[in-house]
Amino acid sequence: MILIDNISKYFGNTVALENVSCEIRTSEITAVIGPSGGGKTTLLRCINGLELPDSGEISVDGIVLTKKTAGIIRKEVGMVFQQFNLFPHLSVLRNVTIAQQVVKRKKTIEAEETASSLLQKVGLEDKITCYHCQLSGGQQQRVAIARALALNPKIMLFDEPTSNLDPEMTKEVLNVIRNLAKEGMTMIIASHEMGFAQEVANKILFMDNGTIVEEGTPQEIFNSPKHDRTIRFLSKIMRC
Amino acid sequence: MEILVKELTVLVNIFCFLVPVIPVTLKIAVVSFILALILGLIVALMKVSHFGIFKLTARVYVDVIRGIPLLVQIFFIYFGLGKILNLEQLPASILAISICYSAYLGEIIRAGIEAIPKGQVDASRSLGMNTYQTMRYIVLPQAFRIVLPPISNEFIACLKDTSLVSIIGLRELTRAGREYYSQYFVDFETWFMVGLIYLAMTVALSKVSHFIETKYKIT
Repeated sequence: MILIDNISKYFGNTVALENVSCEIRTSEITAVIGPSGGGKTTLLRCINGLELPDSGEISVDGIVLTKKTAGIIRKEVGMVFQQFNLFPHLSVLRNVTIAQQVVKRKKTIEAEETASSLLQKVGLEDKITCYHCQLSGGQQQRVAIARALALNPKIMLFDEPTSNLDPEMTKEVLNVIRNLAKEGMTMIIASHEMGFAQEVANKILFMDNGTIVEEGTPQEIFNSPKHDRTIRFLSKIMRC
Repeated sequence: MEILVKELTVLVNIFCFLVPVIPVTLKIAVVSFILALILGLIVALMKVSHFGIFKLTARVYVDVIRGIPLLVQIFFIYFGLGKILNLEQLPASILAISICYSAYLGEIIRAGIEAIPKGQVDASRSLGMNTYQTMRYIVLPQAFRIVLPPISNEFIACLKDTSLVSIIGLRELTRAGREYYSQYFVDFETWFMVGLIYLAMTVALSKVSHFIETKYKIT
């Protein structure tokens, strides 16, 4: 479904991604783990076309990502950000309806119906008239998930969705993602929540210095990591 | 007592003489400012665009227009261009003021656009919106709220600057004041009343802009 073929991305002299290749199949849940600055975010941004790789090729559902096809691919790929990035000038409901109306040209009533059922799904049906400033971080992130789901994407990308949240809010957001997993949504999740990654993911990618250091099932990575770097990272994280 | 009554009568007379031209001043200010906003938005969008040629054109435009006094621009457009294009006083005035203010407004709007966090654009793009849709539905509505105070500031300045076009003989508030003065030779009272009317208009405007600001505030 997603084919990443030897992509590299540089920001000036900094290497963000170097020769990254991997394949993500339908309904597969991939967790990308690794230290900050390891390239997790850049990888997700590339899949969404927010950054175009300097070399190599990404294809989603057979469509090769270019500047021109990015718009088409984005309708298939929803993205959730670390900073939530809700639109502060729009109500919760409008946040979820705007792309449906502007991009898919849906009628207001239709868009609002979809939006309310999605907001119900993330447990926020009573907040539709609120603005982002009236919501907690966890609620904002759940609205952001509903917003990304509104275009009915086939793939969801989560860029450290809980890094800005306290443990309680983290739980409510992870529950929403867990439910999506049960529905069979294809997902790529960059996360520091190792327990969660182990629980929901079918595949783990460990990234450092812009490369995929190790790839495998949660069991392989967490119980018997092969690579030195992976062992060091996991031992540091698991200890605390 | 008698002096006071006499003085008040003079002031009332001046006021009655000036009232009919207030709409002229307002018309110049409002029409010029709307045009300046449209031009300014274009300038701002050119400045934030990814095309070097647009950026450069906008920068040169702003630098040139901002660097020349409005009065000189009015002379240039009315006496210079006006001769070729056969411009009357009113269109020449409106043209001069709107061009001049578009440079300032362009810079203000650009700053407003650039103040919107990058994440807003990311989120909008990730939802499949193209550059135009992102600008129209996400960036500009938020930028508008940011630039509202400086823009109302500019509108007040613009209203006052309409007095400059009195010099090419357009009969607006200041010009009418000069006419009254040369007819009756009461200088203190005339300019006091002219000033008072400008003040009343600008105070009313700041009230209106304050109201709009509170209405559209993002908390």
